[in-house]
Amino acid sequence: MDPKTLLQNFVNGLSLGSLYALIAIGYTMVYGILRLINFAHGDIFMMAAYFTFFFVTLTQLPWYFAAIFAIASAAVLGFGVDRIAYKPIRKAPRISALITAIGVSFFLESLAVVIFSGIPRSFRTIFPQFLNEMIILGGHMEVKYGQEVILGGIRFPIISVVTLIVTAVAIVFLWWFIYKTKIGMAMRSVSVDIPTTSLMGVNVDRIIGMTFALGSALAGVGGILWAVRYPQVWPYMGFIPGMKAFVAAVFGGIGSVPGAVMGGLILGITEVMMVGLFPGAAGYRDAFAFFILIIILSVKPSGLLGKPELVKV
Amino acid sequence: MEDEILKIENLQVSYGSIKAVKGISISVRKGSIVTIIGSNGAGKSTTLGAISGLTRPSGGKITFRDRDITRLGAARTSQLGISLVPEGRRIFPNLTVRENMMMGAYNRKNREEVQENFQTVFTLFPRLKERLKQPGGTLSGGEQQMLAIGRSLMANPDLIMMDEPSLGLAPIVVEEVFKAIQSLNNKGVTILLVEQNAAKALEISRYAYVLETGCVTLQGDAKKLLESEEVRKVYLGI
Ligand SMILES: Nc1ncnc2c1ncn2[C@@H]1O[C@H](COP(=O)(O)OP(=O)(O)O)[C@@H](O)[C@H]1O
Ligand SMILES: [Mg+2]
Repeated sequence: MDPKTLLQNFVNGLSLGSLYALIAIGYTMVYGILRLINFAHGDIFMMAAYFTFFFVTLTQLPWYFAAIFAIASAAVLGFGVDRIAYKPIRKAPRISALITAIGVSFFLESLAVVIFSGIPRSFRTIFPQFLNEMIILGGHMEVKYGQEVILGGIRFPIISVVTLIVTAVAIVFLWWFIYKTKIGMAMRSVSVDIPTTSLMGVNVDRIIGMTFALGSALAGVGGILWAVRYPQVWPYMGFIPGMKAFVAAVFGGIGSVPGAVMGGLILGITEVMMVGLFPGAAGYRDAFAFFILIIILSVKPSGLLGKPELVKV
Repeated sequence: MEDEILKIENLQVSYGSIKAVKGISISVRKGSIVTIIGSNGAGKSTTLGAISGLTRPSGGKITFRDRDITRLGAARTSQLGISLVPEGRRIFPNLTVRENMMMGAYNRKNREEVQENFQTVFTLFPRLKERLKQPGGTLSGGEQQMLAIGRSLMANPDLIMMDEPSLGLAPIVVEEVFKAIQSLNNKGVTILLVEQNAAKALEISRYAYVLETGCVTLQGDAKKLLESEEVRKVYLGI
């Protein structure tokens, strides 16, 4: 790979990875509190994209209203999923919660097919067109077939850069929320000791609900960016990104937010680099993530930044 | 009793088929120190757990300031003014000392009062002030106990329940903890104490109960129990 392509791939990989990171954070936060893999998380990502699509289509209001609406709705949906599906079985064995999570995931996907139909819809007109254009650094101008075109140079889609910036802002916000607000503090205490947190007069179920809402809002941000990038929405769009984000969370050490960010970035970069190096293997890019999962689980199950699971007494 | 702040009537608690508490009655007067002593597994922690709302009783009634709190749940019970310093301290290891204390003050609205509470705790345990920014998990056992007591004080409770606060501490620290308990009581806080260290606990208490396998077998004036033949033999080893 020449340096130019390397740089392009790096930026694209970083951007893809930051989307994985955004979703992975939700997995890891919920796991940190409930020891539950919320398999419905990828579907909230999908729902946020649809909310944006229909908001713009139905109200004709600008995209930023739609984005705010969709992110807030994703948060409410995450909160609701916890209330309706997980809260009633809080004290049941973990396997019940896991099966419920898979059930909720199927439910949301089927619901989307019923309400929104299974046909992919183009997202192209929803957000400003320039997002899918290229930033070109360097290169030279030539006239071909009577038109001026730029050849060569380093290119990456504007959406890649926007994704990176938005993700960075979201992560800074998340850090501030977890470490500087009272609810964030309660989230951290719930993650280590639920009974003692309740002794402090904290409504633990509300804190758990807020954790779902926060993680879902981030997945919502990710879903919108994803839909702009591949410009379409469809009911199963959350499945593969959700699974890869889950791999990223495990890779980084499930339960650790910095781990989820690191895992997401590394997964995104290696995936794009792999496709760049072996274009023939592009068809295997999804399988690649799961190959990584198998390796982590056999070599270091606690992940990069995770602590080995302590058996609770 | 007029000045009775906590009343437990015929309390029963089970873990599955195991009956841990089998119908006990306890009364705590406002402003007093009341102690429950008893050997390991007698049901002391279970009793405190039931009062604080962590464990659901299978029978009986718990009344706090004339209000039925039997099935209220931990968060609501704490909001009403009962604070538990749990067995094993249960500090949040990943939160700083300051944050641990802020957790105690979670439902307090008045910032100035919270600041005053910080000062009260620092007067009681000056060492905590030096450790404010340290994660709770890095404190020594004694410091963690001080933090656990300090954290519960941040809620400004009317009743503090302490589950074996002196367990596993060095003798000097035990002194410090007992002094703190007395000084809190002098400020008007009612205290329900569970202790292995029966001699020390009885010395500072007004009234005491002896718990054996889930039943109250003896109760009375703390000073009298301290002199009684049974207590001296079994719990004081004299
Ligand atoms: N979570 C639990 N599950 C089952 N049994 C328990 C549980 N907690 C306590 N017990 C049992 O209940 C009885 C009373 O325990 P506990 O209240 O902890 O006693 P103490 O605090 O006086 O040492 C013991 O026999 C103990 O084994
Ligand atoms: Mg005990």
